[in-house]
Amino acid sequence: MTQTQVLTPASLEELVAALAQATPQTRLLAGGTDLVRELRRPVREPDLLVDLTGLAALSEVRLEEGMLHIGALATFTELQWHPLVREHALCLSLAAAQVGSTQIRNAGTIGGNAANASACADGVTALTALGAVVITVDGAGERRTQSLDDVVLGPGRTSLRYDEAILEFAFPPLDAGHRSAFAKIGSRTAVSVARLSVALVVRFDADAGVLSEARVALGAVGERAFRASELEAKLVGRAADDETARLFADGCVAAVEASIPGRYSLPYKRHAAVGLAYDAWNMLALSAPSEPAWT
Amino acid sequence: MTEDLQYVGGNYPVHDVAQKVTGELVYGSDFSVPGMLHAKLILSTIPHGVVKRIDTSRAEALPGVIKVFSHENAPMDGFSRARIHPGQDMSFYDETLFSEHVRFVGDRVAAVVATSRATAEKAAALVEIEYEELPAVLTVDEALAPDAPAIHDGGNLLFEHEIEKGERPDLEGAVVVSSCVSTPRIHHAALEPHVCVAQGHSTGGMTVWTTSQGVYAARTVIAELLGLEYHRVRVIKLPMGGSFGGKTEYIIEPVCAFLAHATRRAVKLLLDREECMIATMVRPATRTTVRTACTPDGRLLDFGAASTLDSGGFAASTPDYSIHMCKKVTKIYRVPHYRHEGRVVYTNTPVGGAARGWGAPEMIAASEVHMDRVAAALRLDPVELRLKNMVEPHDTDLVTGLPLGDARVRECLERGSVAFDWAARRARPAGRGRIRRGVGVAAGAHKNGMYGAFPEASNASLKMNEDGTFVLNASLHDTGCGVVTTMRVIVAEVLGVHPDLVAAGEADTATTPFDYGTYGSRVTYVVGECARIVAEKVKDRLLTAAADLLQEPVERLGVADGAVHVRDDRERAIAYRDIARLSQMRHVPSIAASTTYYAVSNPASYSVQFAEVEVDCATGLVAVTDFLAVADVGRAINRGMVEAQYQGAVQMGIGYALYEHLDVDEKGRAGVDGFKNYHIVNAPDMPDVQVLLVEHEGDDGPFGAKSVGEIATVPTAAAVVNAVNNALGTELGDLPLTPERIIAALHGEEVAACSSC
Repeated sequence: MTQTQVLTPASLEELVAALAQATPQTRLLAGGTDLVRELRRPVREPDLLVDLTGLAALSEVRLEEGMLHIGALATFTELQWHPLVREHALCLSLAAAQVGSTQIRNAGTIGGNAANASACADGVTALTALGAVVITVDGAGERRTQSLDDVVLGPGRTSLRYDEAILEFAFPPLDAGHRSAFAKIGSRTAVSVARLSVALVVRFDADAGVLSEARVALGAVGERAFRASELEAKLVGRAADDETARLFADGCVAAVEASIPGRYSLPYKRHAAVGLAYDAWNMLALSAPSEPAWT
Repeated sequence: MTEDLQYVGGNYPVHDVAQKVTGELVYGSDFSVPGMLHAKLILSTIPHGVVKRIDTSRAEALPGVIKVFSHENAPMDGFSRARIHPGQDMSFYDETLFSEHVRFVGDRVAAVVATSRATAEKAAALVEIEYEELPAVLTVDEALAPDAPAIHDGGNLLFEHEIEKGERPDLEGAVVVSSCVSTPRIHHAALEPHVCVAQGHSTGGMTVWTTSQGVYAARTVIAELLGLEYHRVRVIKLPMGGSFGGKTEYIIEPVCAFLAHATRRAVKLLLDREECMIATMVRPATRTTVRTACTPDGRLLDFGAASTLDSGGFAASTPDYSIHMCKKVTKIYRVPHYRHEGRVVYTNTPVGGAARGWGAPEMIAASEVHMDRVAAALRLDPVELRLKNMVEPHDTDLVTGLPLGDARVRECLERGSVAFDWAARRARPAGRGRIRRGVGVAAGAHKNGMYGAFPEASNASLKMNEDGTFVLNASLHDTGCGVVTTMRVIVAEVLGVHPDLVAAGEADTATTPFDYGTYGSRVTYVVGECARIVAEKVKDRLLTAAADLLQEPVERLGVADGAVHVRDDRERAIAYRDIARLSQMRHVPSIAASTTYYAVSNPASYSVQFAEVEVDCATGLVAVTDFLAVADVGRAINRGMVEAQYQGAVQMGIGYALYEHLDVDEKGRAGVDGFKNYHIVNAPDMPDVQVLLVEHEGDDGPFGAKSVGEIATVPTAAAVVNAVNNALGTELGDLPLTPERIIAALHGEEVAACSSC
């Protein structure tokens, strides 16, 4: 009968040593909200389970050299309430707050969210809008910094090698001139996987009265979260008014249509994207709440 | 109203609440006996085909594996999972322990028995099965196509029935309205999975512990299948973490019993959630068209219905289930002429069968959504239309010919309308923005036991201990909804002692008397009345003994606070404890009695429910913002439990209306394997459910009580659907009203129904 070896590294050195023993059958354990469920019905039992939860340093959130660093083991609950995240990455806090249930948020981690690479991972959608990079380490002790897009490839697929662990994410912090939002539609109010999500980051130039920067990431409408660059370009230079809200909603619909043409869920999602877009837009609180025209 | 009730109508927790809270209670999944083996089912991965070859060699080579069983080495006699009684009609013996001819994804092909669950699971993955695939029919339409492959000998049309009652009046000038409602296949969603432990004895007999709703029926099915005399099969009910009908029929018990019998060992069969979803039973999908004619002022003249029910791969109880769909409307409305035809169709999908309400939630969804269409056609308020047609107390049910008893559906509607402020809420505009608000109402009816169809009866014994406490011996099956507590309160009320001084256990074929079990909304009404009568008999014995001891005639005596007293001189009393002691000294046999109670009626229980919803026109999500359930319960034995039953039932009904569906893809696979992807309504989406009890005590249950468990969920879905249609001005009738369906309706687009009918 196969045996699974469990290693619980307590330092970076021990982590590297553990990863050096990894094989393609090795699994890394963070919050366990997906992995434990999978291990209960193993297709193939792992030879080695590297339990990352002993690495306290990996749950840190810190500002360093002009970048906000989010440790891979930071839980959604921590991200929801962390003052630095609230101040410099509000959309990530909002996304974390809508993940699963309280229990899932207490255990689930942002690193696991990315490594599991679900197309509807709320954390990944927010990190995509924030322009995050992923910092990893492997069994040789080598560190790599890659864009999130280069790591998360598609449903359950990443570029991570079997001996590579995510240490942290880093991105430029949002400042006082930024506003950000996250909205999602599930099949119910809470404890629901996103069927459609959007993270929105804008910078509003108060003097000029226009948006000087816009980043839009859509989740759960395609293989992975993605930036809607065409829409972003259209938003820049526009006033924060009802017309821009409508343009944002139309742009989200167009991006959804382009991403999942012919998909069974498209007829619903293209309509629902309108409501989602207005929800996110109104969260920015740049103007009085907008509403589309209803018939 | 019955005056001076001391205990009936109070609030009592479920009997094992302390054990549940502390974790002391041993549920089936925790239950074990020494030396117990573990079984793992192997289920068909294809919707239709024949097993050509099973290679168990790799599995059986695994250390710890005892044996793999399949059609090759198990009895292949057909059995009916729905058989309650040896002589029962409507049992279809179309199922075997393991299938050679597999009929749906999830059909049992084999089982591995091993020394541990992990080993059994591992071995199950090593069993190689080769199928010859047959074309599959996944919907009723496909199954009934002329060239459809036959799922069973005799074809796919399993059962047809037709009923016509009353005289069709002159329909000249009548307003005719037609509608069609479909309901989805859904999972019962009891939190506890199916589990059974069976111990084969060296003597050839066996003991079975199961979370079943009827141990005697389990015994019948097991004993007949294994060729054992009934007394050699002892079935004991375990504590149960919910059933909702999903554990009513005997699905895993025969399998587990066979495995134990074959190995002469104890074997545990515990299903996981995915297995519970696809391999046990589902609430069957239905489609019902209704056509009514009524006078222009809204009096029903004619009610016609045609329903189709998807049985899935085996018959289970679906023919009877379908027949009962015909017995709902005429409990609620006076209809001069009622006609209903039904058909039940096999498909290559999970097996349909018993589910809370037994056809009523399905039929009431169809009929009550229809009533709103009629109201719209006549420009009548839905409450007004219903009031014009509702039955009066002591009407006779046109279809069954049975008296409806003290039927208070009209009063439920009238009082509910006031409590819900229906007229004002209904008059409120739905709004023109993103969020639209609406209200809906629906009336439901259900029965009280099986009187009229079955020799409905129950048995109970009650004895007094020497200290003046009592022990009730009856075959109780608590599904988690407080049956044991109900019985203790009934006995306590009769005997004038606190319910804590009455013990009652659950069913065990070796020690408790025959009873059918917990279904058919029969327990409080029939078993409860049996408990009341046996308590009255014990009370008579106490009074007789006390009469001697107090030197007073029985007529002058009363009971209260655990003592017999002289009614007009309450100082003169003798405690039960002393009666017991003195009686024994006088060589009087112990104070005890037994009784058999035959039910004498089967009145209707009613509920009228009101829902308020807010629909988000952008996302299609529906929030149920307020809910009122009015309950014609006759008399609440345990008030808190009745209210809780209703709150849970509304949760279930909202899920039926808005969320739940267990569809299969083109390969017959369910695509859901747990509550992660099969969503029921959770707490954040639940409204505050108000429960209003209408209590009249006009029928033959204990202290006037009528059934609660099933009726509570019967009209819920219809009320929610009617509220959504009110909010949106739509005529939605395909359940559930998912966001997709609502968005499509708002944009005039088409979306396929979830129902396979």
